[in-house]
Amino acid sequence: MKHKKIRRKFILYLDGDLPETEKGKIEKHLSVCESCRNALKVIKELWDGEEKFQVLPPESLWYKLKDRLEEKRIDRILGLRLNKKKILKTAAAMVIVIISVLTGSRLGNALNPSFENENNIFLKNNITRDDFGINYFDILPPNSIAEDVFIFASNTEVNKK
Amino acid sequence: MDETQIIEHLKNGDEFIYKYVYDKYVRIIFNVCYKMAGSKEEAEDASQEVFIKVFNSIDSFRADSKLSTWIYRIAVNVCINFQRRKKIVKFLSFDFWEEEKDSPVENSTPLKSLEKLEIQNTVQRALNRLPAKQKTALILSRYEEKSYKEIAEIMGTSLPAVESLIFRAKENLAKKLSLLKNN
Ligand SMILES: [Zn+2]
Repeated sequence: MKHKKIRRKFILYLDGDLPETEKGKIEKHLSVCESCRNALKVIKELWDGEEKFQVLPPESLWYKLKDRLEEKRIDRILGLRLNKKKILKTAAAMVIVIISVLTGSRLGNALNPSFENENNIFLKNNITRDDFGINYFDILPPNSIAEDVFIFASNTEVNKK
Repeated sequence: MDETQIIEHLKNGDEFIYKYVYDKYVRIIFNVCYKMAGSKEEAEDASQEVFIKVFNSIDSFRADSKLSTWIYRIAVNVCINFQRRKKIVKFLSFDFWEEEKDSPVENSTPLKSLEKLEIQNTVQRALNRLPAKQKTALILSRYEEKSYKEIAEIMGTSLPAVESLIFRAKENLAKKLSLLKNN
């Protein structure tokens, strides 16, 4: 049991990752246990002897990747085609909404004929807009000198009447 | 070309940048995948997956880490997923049981000097048996020579967690390698 525990620490021991106390314990055990000394030799050979080489990627890798990228691109184009259908559907829905809003407001006007009524009152009583003077607020910028002039002029006209 | 330019071209989907990024990172990616997967065929498949993920999810790259760190992270995740998938396939096809019997230690004699290739294979096979996170941390530290801080960033974990992962990885690996002597 003790051997197993010691051997578990061998890589840490070889890499110098252990605190002094544990290092001491291992060295003490190694000095008396031949079997663990042999085990350490093997692990050292494996761990330190392993070449940390870099593998070269094969040339073909780029071409394989390129093919896959190309496939993805085609998928995306196909995806766009599907999206066109979606766009058409959305457009159709929007047209329906616009039409219903317009019809709705017309219907609303028909049901609420206050505007028409106002005009009818004007017509029935033979009143024109001129009778109220010029609607200067529509033509002139408010608080301008021209506005003052106009107010003056229209007031005198109304007064004349 | 600096990193910001590369990222911009990637985000624009400029096609020429794919080859540029490939040339710049293929060695890193292929080597990480090779160590993680343990075979060249799988490293090829995994590398392609990594590049496609890099190209397609560049929009999710946030500038709080280096581009290379982000690429490492993708590589690690892809390889862990590959490993997971492989384990399931192996388990379902009963290869799992065969492989377990065929441990790296049995056919080696401890005191005979080991051939280079044999050493390589033995360590690789022992590595393959480590839990994914321990293996990842150990590979990044030992073969990619990343600092613990960088590993924490790549793996999206804390510094103490990385220290503990590497410590346990080395314990586990020593245990697996020392079976040599017992048999
Ligand atoms: Zn012993």
